[in-house]
Amino acid sequence: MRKLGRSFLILTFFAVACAGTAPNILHVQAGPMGVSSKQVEINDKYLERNLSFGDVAIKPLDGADLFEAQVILKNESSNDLSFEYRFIWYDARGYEVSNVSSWIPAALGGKESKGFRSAAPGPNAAGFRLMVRNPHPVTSTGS
Amino acid sequence: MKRFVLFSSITAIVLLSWGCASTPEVTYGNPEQVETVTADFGSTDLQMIAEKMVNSLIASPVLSSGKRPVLYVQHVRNKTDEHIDTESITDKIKVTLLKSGKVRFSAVGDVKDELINQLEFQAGSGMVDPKTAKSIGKLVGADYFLYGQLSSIKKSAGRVKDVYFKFTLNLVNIQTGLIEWADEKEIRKQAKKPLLGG
Repeated sequence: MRKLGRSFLILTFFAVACAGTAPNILHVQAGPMGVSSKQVEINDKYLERNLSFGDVAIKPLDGADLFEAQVILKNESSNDLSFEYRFIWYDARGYEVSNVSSWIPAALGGKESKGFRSAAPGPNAAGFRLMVRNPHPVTSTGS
Repeated sequence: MKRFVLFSSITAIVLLSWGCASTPEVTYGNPEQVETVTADFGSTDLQMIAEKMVNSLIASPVLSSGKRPVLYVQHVRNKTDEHIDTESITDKIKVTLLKSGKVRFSAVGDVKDELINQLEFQAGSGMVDPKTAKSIGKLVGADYFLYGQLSSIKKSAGRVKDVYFKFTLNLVNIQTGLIEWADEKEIRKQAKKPLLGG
């Protein structure tokens, strides 16, 4: 009976580990002059241990009211890490500003840091959310 | 006895599941989700390319100058051995850029004959009210055009298949013939067949 209980616990652990968890999100309010606020929302503590948000840099573009954002993501573990990310831009009222905002697969080597960039899709962009999550693909098994 | 009941129940559930699975299960998914069904070119590759090209173009001096230049897409040559609709890649780029408001696209490259037919009909057939008829000679000339290519290198050994895609896009100034902007996106995918099945 004890064996059965242990097996059930192990199975439950794997089921929870394999199930989709909400992404970790970096909320950034920014303009061509720089970042006015940033806030990290952690929904996946296991991912947070391995993948951290670093500095946010803003580069103004020629058009004065346009800018590009770069966020450093760091693999805190010593092993290769695969993950997915997406940038979603929004205006001052909180409306999403149209852009290609699909989940993008990415990978970082052990302890590697890299800048992930996205350009503000319009002059009305007032901030963005950078979301990261464990790989979540549609596979041949339909999962 | 208990074991027999348990075994029979499990067998019955498995058989019933098989029996009920005569039609495939269809569900709607999120088009923005990463897809890894096969190593062939897929929707995620298209989205990754469009994301990189749009971000790079928006950040380029040509588009960020605020002058809203007029572009058209010439073509993207498919140099892979797969049948890939490269127009769907450039359409995705075109739609996203148009929505950004930083650029205008000329339809002449896509529907030139239709435009000419319609202008000739409106201006010369006598069937259209002259007050609303569009006159010939007022089409906006494009400033730049986009062209590019998609190539791939594929290798297989044993159970592993490695695919490398490279997408290159160039922006040409029609007045000068200079390539004012170019960028590329590289994608590497690996598929590993399972030991059993597959």
